[in-house]
Amino acid sequence: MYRVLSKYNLITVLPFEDTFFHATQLQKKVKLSKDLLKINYLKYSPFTNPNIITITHEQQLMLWFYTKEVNTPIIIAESYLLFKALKEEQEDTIYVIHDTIVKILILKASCLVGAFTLSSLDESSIVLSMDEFHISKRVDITLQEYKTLKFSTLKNLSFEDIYKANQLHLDRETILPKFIEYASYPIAALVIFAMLVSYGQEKMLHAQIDSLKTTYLQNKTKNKKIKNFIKIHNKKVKKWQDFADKELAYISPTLLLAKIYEIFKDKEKAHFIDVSINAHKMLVKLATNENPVVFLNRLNAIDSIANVIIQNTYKPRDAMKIISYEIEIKKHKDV
Amino acid sequence: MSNFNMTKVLVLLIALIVYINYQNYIKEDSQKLHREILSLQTNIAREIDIEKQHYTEQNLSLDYSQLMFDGKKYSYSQAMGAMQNELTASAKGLCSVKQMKWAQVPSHDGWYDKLRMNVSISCTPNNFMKFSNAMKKNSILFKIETFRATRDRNEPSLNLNIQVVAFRRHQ
Repeated sequence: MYRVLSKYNLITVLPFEDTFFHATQLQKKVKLSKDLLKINYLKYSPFTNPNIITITHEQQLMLWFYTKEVNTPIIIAESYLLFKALKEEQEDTIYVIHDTIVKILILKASCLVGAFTLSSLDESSIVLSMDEFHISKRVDITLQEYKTLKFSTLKNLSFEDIYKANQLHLDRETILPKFIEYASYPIAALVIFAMLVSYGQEKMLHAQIDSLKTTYLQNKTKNKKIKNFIKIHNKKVKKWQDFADKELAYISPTLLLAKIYEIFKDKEKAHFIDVSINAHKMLVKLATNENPVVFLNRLNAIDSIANVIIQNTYKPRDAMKIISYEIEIKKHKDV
Repeated sequence: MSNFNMTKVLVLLIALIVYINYQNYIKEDSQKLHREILSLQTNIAREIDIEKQHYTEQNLSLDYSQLMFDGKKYSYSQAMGAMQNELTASAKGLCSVKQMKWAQVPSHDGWYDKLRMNVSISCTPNNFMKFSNAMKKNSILFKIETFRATRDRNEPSLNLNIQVVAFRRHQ
């Protein structure tokens, strides 16, 4: 994102040496206006009539005073970028960056508490700062490491960072004209382009529809005659299907008798006395000495019949038992 | 408002107005167009499928009319007579026909009539099956609607009372 913003001259990273840093603790979260900040904190600035960048991190208010004239809408302090890169370090540390000038960054309890530059490596100033902030750890960063750190932070610059650093600049009066200034032509172009793309797509879809319609009509005309045959054929099939469903719904009595005969054929002592079949019901009366329940189970196993019940069983004197079964015949479609 | 570059504002406004009007009044529902394409593609696929099946008038002809007596050729009485002849021929040499009784003239509802004949025959179970198979060999469909078989004591033959149904079509 930084690359894009800098390409269009939308962002400035204020160098360490061009800013004066001051940090203070806020008692509660408040929204600070530019005027309010000037009234309260201008006294800490070494510059006369400076500009201010502020960032609130937890309860800490970080202020960077600067006098440099900057025309870009987004301004961010370099020391904030370094703080962002190093804030994950748990220990309180003083960072000494060896650039053409020496840059000092002091982090305490994951907050930036000091950021200043020295024209040369002045050990006494560093020790003094360490004593002032009760810091015992010192980390020296070479120029190469510093460049890498800065580059990676800029690469990972988020919208949140930009917003945080520029809240003071982002008031309605200034942001809207600036937005219009920078974005009106690109947005207008984008809108027109989107419209043209959408229109083009629509035209393409219409052309595809027309082509498909022509193909469909050609095929439809070609199949018109055969479709008519199919329609008549389906009508006939339906007619005969309805006939079969109505008139031939149940198994033929002869087939049913053949199936039932299979059950009794091995039983020499079972004789049919009376068999009647009427539509969906069958009555079987037979003489046997077998257990009637044995036949009942076998009858129930036939797939074309259901709900076999023993109507009655009686035994005439000196003769075999007479058993009457009532059987329900299933429809073909239920089998 | 003095901070605004009015030309740029105007350009942006015109672009937005044109775009909104295009979206609201000119742009068609692309979902609808895609649905139409899909529907046409499905229809074309169906037509191609029909074409691939190589249907002809011959392979689509379905005729089961021979299963019934033709109402144009046979009156009720003629159809019943023919039915009686067919049943007698089927029973010949297998069962002895004791009685054949015609049912009442059916009412004309639907596209066919049901011709009912109550038949009393006497035969062995084996011969009854043969009689039944002989009936099935006829081009006309004979259906046994009701069936009752009783056996006289010490008689090998069964007394069978069956109602046979045939059909006569009007169309």
